[in-house]
Amino acid sequence: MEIFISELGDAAKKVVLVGKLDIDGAAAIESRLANLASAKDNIVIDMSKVAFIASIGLRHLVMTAKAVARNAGKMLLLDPNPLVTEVLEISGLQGILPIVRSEQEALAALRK
Amino acid sequence: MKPRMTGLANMQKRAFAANQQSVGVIDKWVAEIARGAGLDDRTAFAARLCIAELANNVIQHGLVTPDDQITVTIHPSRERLDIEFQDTARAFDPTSVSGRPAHSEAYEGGRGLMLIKSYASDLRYWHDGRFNHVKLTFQSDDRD
Repeated sequence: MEIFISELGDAAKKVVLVGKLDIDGAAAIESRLANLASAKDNIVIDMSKVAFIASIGLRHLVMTAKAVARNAGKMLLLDPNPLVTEVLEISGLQGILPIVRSEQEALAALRK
Repeated sequence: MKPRMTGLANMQKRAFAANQQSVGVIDKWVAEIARGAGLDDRTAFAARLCIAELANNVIQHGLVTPDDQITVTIHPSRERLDIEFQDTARAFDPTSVSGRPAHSEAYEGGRGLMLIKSYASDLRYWHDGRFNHVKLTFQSDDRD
């Protein structure tokens, strides 16, 4: 799994994940997500290029979202594909890992 | 009693070391067979996800040693996979776990078995005194 980090305006860090968020993928991004989560920024994770997710990937996303929330920030998932979206929904994570479908929607959600 | 397997002519069986490096290898193999069997994208994804969850569970919670193995037997037939997952980890019955989220959203773990129960069309478990056996069925449907 690859991870690319940029700025989404001045509202958030944008994290693009590419590949499979399985046991190897989760290990590959663990430290960088943890560092980001401690930086007191909002985070938008672009999930559109994540082809597969397993529960260990969900675990890392939940851990990151909780760390961001502890710093009064917000974390959003941007445009996961339908298969990944279904995993998130079945897992009952729509509250702690809210999904937006565009950067505009993300920015609007972060302004609330 | 052991569930009967179908499609014996196309049966494929492989053994893997019970370690993290094997998970990606198993996933690629299951994906390849799912494609060959003509499964739709969701059903192929379901098969891959369930096998990944079983493998992760063995590796992370099964108290495995370097000698432990995971053996996967796949019986592909038209738009269907029957998969038997066998491991030498400590006995554990995944069918005994609730199919619903058992924790609050903030809980960080424990969703793998719930996903297996949600995604497999059929799920059975038995222990033969030495090995755990999990038999799963994935059948394409017309939801797409």
